[in-house]
Amino acid sequence: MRENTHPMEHEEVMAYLDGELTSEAAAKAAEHLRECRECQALAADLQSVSRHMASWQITAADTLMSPTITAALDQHESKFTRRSTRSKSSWPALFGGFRIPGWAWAVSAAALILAIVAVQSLTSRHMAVPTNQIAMGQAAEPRADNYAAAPPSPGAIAKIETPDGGNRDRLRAMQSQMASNMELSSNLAVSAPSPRSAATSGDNAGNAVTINYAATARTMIARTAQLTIIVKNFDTSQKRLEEILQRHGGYVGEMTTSAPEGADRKLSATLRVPADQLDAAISEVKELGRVESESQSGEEVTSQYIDLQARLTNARNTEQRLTELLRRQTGKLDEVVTVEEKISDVREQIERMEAEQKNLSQRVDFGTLSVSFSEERKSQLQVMPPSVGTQFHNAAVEGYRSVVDGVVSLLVFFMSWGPSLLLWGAILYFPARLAWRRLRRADA
Amino acid sequence: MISDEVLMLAFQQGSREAFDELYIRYRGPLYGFFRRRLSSELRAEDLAQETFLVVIRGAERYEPRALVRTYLYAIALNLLMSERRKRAHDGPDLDSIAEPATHASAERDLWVRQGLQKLEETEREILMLREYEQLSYSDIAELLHLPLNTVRSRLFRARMALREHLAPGSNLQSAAAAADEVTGPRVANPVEGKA
Repeated sequence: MRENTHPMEHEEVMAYLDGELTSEAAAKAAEHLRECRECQALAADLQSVSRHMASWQITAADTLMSPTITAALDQHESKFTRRSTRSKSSWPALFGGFRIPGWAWAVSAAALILAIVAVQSLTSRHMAVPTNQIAMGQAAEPRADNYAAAPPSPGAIAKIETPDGGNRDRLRAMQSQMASNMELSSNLAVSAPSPRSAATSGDNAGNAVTINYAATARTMIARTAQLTIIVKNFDTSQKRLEEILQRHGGYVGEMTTSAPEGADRKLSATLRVPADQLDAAISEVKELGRVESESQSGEEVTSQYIDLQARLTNARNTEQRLTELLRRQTGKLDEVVTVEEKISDVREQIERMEAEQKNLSQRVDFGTLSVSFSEERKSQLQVMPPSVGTQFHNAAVEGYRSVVDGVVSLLVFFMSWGPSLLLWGAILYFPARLAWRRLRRADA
Repeated sequence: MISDEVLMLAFQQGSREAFDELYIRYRGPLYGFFRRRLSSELRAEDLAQETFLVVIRGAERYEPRALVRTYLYAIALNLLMSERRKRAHDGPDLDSIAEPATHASAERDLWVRQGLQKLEETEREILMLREYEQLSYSDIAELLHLPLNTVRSRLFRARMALREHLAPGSNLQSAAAAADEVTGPRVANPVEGKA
């Protein structure tokens, strides 16, 4: 076999061309290549592939760094500047050579912030923000971890919580804007009726945002109505129904019509009508005919929506953190894959929740009107007595059937009870005969 | 010329100039890496920048265990995988072999792109990492978590298959014979299958 006798594998020729062989093996390969025509042809092929591939060149448009990189570089640089500044700091000298540890500074700063917050809370206790008090079972105070994550600046709290007209208006404006956007961060704390709990905000979207949601959220109700109507003219009513729907900006979710021969025509439709137009649409639909049944219901989904929003934001934050982790992760591929799997799971959850949220919003924005109407139709009485011949025929068939049924029943009876009767007859025959004879003797 | 590793260590110590030099050296190659693998020019640009961002953020933890070149492409590969995963979620997979507008007219480029597109995914990645990113077999093995011998044999197979795609009229028998020696009489071998 050629494979066994050939002194050099073809992969080795490739490795030689790629500079991947040890010097000893490379020397051997070079020597072999000088003599072997087959390997020379292979080497030419491999080099040709590389040449072809090299023809696909990509040219980068510009070499400017993005602002993000510049900012990250500044941050990186500032760490070293801080370190060098810290090493030259005169603070130790100021404190007589005693070095205050970093955690002591952090504790002091936290205590100072807490003191300011407490003072602000006490001074603004009389401020009453109207609340609808949506019961969510949440803590009255914002969660500790919210503050731990991003302590709000005292200045911001003072501005918002001061019950002066201008700032209060500003607070209301902010609250209404947040309510309209319905964009709550994961750190959202739905407030209990505590009047002092107003609003605090961080410096950007990623920071903690705590608002008195009860004062701002609109009640979200998913409305459904059901109507059953008997109409006189089916075609006209169907046309009018479509007109009503168009007039109120609704759309057909589902519609089925059936027109079986000899029966009344029926229409069953699920219509989606803007919530504010639903009442008007219902009253107009009712005019189409005689209302046979009507029902309306409303499901409050505010808490459901808020809960969903909070979970969604949490999941997004988790995804962001994982993505960040992945970017920083430059270690083993296994770890990267694990993180990516986690990201994939979280993304799936996010998409599911987004779909749920979209569905919920749609249910609130568009009321569901289920309409079914049927045509008012006078049924025709159809009385057609059968012919005399048919009656005779039917009677003959019935008579024959009765006879056959009777005979069959008798046979069935004897077949099922016969063996039992024979057995008992055999057993009771002699005692009965004896008794009979004695009775006759006695009479004689 | 100062080596990449020295520059990276200098940057780790806070030298911005060292980073600038690394940026100049690798900005183009990294852009090329993403551009060849993604259809969106903009996204390729973003991801190239993101690679440097990861380098900056992870500079403190950098250890000179491997070449900076390998380190950068490892980050780039992670970002690429993440991007592909994201695209799989968001919509149709667009990360086929890219078609840069500047080269659309070049017939040979188109041939190469089409030929690469026909290769099996891992083989294509191995071949591209070798040819365009100039990574060693061991680096590729580490990045793709494959044994070294597998990288070598699959790289050979990929080259032979690409040669077949690029020059269908060439001497097929020699290619088939070469492939036979490497892989044995397997029908699945692309060269042998076609030959």
